[in-house]
Amino acid sequence: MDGFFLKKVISFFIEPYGLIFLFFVFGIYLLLKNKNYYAKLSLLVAFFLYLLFAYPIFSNFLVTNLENQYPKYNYLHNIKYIHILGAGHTDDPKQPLSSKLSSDGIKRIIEGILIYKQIPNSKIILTSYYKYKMLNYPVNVKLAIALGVDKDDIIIGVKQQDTGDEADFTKSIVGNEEFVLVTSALHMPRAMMLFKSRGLNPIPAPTDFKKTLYYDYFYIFDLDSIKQSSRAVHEYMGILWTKMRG
Amino acid sequence: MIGFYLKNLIAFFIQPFGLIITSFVLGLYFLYKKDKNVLAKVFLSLSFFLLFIFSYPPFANLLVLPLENLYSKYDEKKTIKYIHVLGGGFNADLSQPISSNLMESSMRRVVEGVILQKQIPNSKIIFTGYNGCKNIAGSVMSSKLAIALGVKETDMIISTKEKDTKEEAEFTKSILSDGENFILVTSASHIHRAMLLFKSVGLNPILAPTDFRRYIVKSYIRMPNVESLRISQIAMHEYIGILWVKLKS
Repeated sequence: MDGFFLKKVISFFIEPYGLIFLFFVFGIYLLLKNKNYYAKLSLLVAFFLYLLFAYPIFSNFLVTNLENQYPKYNYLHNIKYIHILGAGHTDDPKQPLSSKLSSDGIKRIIEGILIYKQIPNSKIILTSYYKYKMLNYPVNVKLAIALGVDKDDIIIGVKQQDTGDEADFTKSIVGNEEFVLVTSALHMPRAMMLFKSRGLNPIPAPTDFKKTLYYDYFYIFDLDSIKQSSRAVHEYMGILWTKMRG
Repeated sequence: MIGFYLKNLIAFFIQPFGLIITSFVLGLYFLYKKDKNVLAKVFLSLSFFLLFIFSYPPFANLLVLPLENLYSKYDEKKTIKYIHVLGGGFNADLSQPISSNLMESSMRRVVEGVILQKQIPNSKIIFTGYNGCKNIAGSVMSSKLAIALGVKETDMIISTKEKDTKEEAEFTKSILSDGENFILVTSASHIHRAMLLFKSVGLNPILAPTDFRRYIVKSYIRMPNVESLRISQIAMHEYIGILWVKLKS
């Protein structure tokens, strides 16, 4: 638990938003201590980082580098298994199914369902992590069923904490046979690395793209761009981490 | 067009992100002026305080709760003919699959509409929304996803002219017979304002909110993050919008 929290804290401070925070708070501390020279320096760095990461052209550059590695699925293969990687969800009973999965989660499952509907006799593998024992189907399974997927066509895994676990689960089902892998475009390069390193043969079907075709040059400070930059930097670090561990 | 830019510009400056940026820039400016050190401290501290509070998840949640708690999910078993799914953001990038062309909120609205259409026999979905500056209308993009998910083309009504919620309400009014019930699908934070606008043209929708941003707070030890800042931004946008609707009526 402590290790997990520590990892979160450290990654917070080396990702764009945290870096800006760090220089900002440090600058104000120095300013209040009347160390004006260093305060200016720190605040300018914070401001510069802000400008950089919130600028659509820069965030788009960070994102497209990762997202353009694998093009969208061509819907022509005739493949039996479609593995949709898991994402977050909420248990809030007041929300409908369409609202319970996280933003990346719902896009992934919709893409997987669209592919499933085009391939006769295909099966969907849904992996995610549930802390507690469930009395009912997981949210992603319920959503797939509500959208017309036959429940006998769904293979459910509920104990996969990360992409590595998800790869192990699918390996136990498909072995080295080809299958479709659905995940967010930003996450695809790392997911492909992890799956291939275990001897699996995924055909990528990326969705949930963050890149934008049209950006408004007028928008210098764009909130969505900071989010894109953060996600991209998070992925770059994840890829580095995966490579370091071999 | 200028009016549109002006409205966006003003909106930018009175919303959290704009406030944070403005006070930051002012603070930096005063920092480089002689004898303005106190003002610099005030504005920079204010900027940091706003940045922290609006990106702190439990606070963003607090802002969005009053909007989202007004109505809960559609849970009735009525026979209703029309389901109106309000339009939202999208992109027309052909290198992306359809599941990625719709922005998060539009995607959830379409999915909610499709689920309800499948549950209610003989119902039809109404998609509205214009093309912005793209070569395809939002309503058409939404209908593509609905078709791919198995909704028949004959079970959809598509209109491509509506620029805002008011115009969407007027379109649906033109389709319904007098006093006919219908379901309105939109984002939870937007649904109260949408309902005010639909009522202003004399309609009485049954609400089906989706795309909730609230969460169940389990711990107050949370790092600030961009997503929460965006939720604060959405909430403030809605409060200003509701105020605007009330002022106009």
